[in-house]
Amino acid sequence: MLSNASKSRHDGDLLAVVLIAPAAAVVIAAMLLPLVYAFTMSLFDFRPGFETQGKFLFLQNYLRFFQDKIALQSLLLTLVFTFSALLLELLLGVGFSILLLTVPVWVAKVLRGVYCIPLLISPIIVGLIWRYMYDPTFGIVYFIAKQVGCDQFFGGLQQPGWSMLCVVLADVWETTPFVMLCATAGLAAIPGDLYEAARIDGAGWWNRFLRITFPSLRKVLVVVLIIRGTDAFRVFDIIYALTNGGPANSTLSLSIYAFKKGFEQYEMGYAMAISIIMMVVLSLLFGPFLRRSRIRA
Amino acid sequence: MKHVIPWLPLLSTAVISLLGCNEGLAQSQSDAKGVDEAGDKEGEKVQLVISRWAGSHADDQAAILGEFEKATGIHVRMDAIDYGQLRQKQMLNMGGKTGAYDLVFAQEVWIPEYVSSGYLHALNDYLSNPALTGKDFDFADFEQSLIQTDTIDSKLYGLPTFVQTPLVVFNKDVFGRLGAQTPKTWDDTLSIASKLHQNGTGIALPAKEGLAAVDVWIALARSNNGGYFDSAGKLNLVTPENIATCQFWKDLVAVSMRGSTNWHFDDVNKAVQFGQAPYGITISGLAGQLEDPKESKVAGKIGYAPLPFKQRPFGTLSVWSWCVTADSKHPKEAFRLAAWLTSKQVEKAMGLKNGQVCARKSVLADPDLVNKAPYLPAITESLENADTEPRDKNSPKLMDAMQAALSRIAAGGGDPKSELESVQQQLSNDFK
Amino acid sequence: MGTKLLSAGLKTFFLGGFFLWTVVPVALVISNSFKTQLDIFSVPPTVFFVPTLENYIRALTSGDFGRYFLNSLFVSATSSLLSVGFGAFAAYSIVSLRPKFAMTIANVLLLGKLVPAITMLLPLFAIMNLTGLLGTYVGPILAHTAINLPFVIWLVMGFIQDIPDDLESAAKIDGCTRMQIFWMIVSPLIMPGLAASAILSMQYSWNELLFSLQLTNLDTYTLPVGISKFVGSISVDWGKSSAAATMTMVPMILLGFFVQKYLARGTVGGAVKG
Repeated sequence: MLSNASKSRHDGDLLAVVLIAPAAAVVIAAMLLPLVYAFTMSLFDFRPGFETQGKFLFLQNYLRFFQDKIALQSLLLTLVFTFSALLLELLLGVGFSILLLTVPVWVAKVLRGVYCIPLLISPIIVGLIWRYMYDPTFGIVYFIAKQVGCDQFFGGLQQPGWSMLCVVLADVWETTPFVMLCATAGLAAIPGDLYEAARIDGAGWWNRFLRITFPSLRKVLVVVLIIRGTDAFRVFDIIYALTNGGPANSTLSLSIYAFKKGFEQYEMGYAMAISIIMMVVLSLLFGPFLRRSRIRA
Repeated sequence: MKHVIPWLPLLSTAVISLLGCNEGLAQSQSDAKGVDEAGDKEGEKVQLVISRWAGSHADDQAAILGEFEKATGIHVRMDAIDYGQLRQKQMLNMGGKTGAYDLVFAQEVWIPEYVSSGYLHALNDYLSNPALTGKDFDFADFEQSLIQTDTIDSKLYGLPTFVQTPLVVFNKDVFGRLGAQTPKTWDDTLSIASKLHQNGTGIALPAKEGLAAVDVWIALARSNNGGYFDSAGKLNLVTPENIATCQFWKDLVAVSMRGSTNWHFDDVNKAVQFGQAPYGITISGLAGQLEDPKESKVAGKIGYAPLPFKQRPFGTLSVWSWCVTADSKHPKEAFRLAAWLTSKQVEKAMGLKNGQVCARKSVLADPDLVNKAPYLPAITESLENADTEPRDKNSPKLMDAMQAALSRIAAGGGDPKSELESVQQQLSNDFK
Repeated sequence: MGTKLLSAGLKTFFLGGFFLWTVVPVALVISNSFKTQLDIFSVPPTVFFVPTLENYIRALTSGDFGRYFLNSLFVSATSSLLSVGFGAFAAYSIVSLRPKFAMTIANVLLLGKLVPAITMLLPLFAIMNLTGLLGTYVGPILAHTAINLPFVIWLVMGFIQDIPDDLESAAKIDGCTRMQIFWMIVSPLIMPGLAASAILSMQYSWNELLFSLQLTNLDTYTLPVGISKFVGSISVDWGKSSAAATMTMVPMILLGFFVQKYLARGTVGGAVKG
């Protein structure tokens, strides 16, 4: 008996390794090796193309980050962006995916198909179309604002503060479908009879949500939170297309700052250090969520 | 077993992707080994790849490349990509010595970096070889200041071709109604813009946080005898002249068209092109679009002038050049192509096609071109007293700091003096 | 009765509002693709206009659009198949087979998600250059798969964990091998998760720009590279880029509608009441 069990465990481990190997190979080659490279390079001061001729700085690039006013401001802005975008996207994505369950199936299918469209559009075009919509002269946002009478009040992309709001809205538009798709998949896994039983028992919709939907959805939500949260923190394309970090550095996310430092000012070492710091912050922010999802015992 | 079937594609695609690896390679190789009787004596046809930014200028250039191939048998492929990704791609390829590009289109501020990184091939030896330059090359016909821009340590690294300078544009009808003349000085500019602003429009400025604003600002500053450096070459930003320039910029933004603080040159151009803005500062490369009757609502109505000055006229100049890469496998042929692209005939043809401004004196003075492009005189006038942004090793940092400072002054209510002081302090370590 | 009407009304309001919010920008892109520049930039925006096909014609003829489309198809299909395939296997391995340090592996895989794209670009470029694979499809496929894998693995892990233990135990007792359990029991049950992963991986790869531009060459450029050519040089060609974007959008939208079938598939215990 014992030898049988250990033999099957051995086979199981072998199979497990075989199954994980391809995924691990890809991630190691394309993401973890670069990570090691990035960390090594962040200890030097070098220009792109000159990797071997850098000055060894040890942790100086990291110290520099904490003394760099713009870097710290960028960190704050990135956090603001991440929290706002994430919150809105979760609310809207989950909210609408649940709402779609309460309408006839064909209606839900059509609506869901339409709601997913923003996700399917190239980020370049998303940036372009929002830039066009936010333009005070040609854009529809101002057109509507004028009808409502608040076009003087609305700062659009021109004023710091307002620009962050506009960028967040554009990102919400683009990414809510992602949350909605995942939430829909998660909801699909909930057996219908649970709801039926609850309704028979007289539970109202809020109770049904709290007791049935939410607990089952939580796992998916944690994944979405981590994925979407890390993506939002590393935001680049949408801000680059809309404001290039301005006005007055008011939408300068850390990714854009690192890019500028690396490719426009040729300080690759510092850019790498910024990337590493970003990863550390992300681990601190989202790490706790990871530990909570334990593997089924 | 039927559940396994959907997974079979996975295995097959794994196989196909490995095969597909070579597909891209095979295609480009087969282009190089193209069948051509009029090929080089070496037997295998030479193929060149050139790197530049995409757009209508690129399309026009690509259209005439066929003539080069007819004349020399060298096949040319143009890799025109998004401007925002251009420098990265050039740097990655030249740094990695991939040999992917033979000629690169480079801006003057990129060239010092490229040269010090060893990316470019010096061209001096080729200049004296008429087989490579063509019969009527006439090197002296190039604007010498631009040649100087591309020369480092007495070695020439690029042939200049596409010149850009900021330009003032205005709607002659609207100005006529206001009784305004062609604006020349800062005061002219402010007074006209204020009147327009009172009537609901204003001057369209490229005040977005970016290089456009800096390019305009430095011309204004230099016209006021200001600038980045003092006579000893040290960074000296906090001068009365510079502060006055920042104040002028701030005042101008106050009477600018709504949206200017997020506008780059092409947004300004659009505003003028479609009749929204009667006054603006745009860049010469875009002026052609204003005169196209099919695309512009104001074709024929626009007046052109150099940037306004305070004490003496001054402009900012930016030039794109064709440079031969150090890792090119065919540097001689690449140079031949560069010389052909910058030859008098080709430059004139391009100018007639889309009104672009080249670096050849004879072409700029050609009456055919002046008729076609009413903005040429203003451009020539701008170039009389013009200079590029500094091409020093640390100037990217300076540019970046200035961008942010100007944006804060324009949109964030920043104070000119303290913004300049903060930039000076930020960079004091870099510019000793 | 009143509350039912109220709730129906609210539902319509929210669903309809979100519909408009989603559709208006998309409609703008599509309508711009049929307008001349003059019409695009008129104030107030023209609702009625003479449509023109010239943008589509110019976009299709001025670039290598056909080639970009095929390249996009190849890269996206391959990378999403690899992502979903490798990801599902890995997820199953971590959850059900539980090799040693399973959770550590899972966390390490997620660590990959934290790496910013710029950080990946330089080393990846160097690796591709060294192996002579620069300019082929391998670069973008590798990058896209690597970026999608952590997400796919974590999503599918969640679904596998939800499968009741008794099903697997029963199958084991019946003598099924682990792989048979995977094919016959697990895969059908995690279909919504697989479908969501598939479409999300596909759309990411279809629309990705940075790696598709920097790790490829003229022959292997994809559709987003083509679109970017119309955007962002000194001036934006709104007509052509809108046309290019619309053409790029359509396959993905169709795919989205198609995949929905798998998203709402019923599971053990009954279908979700619609």
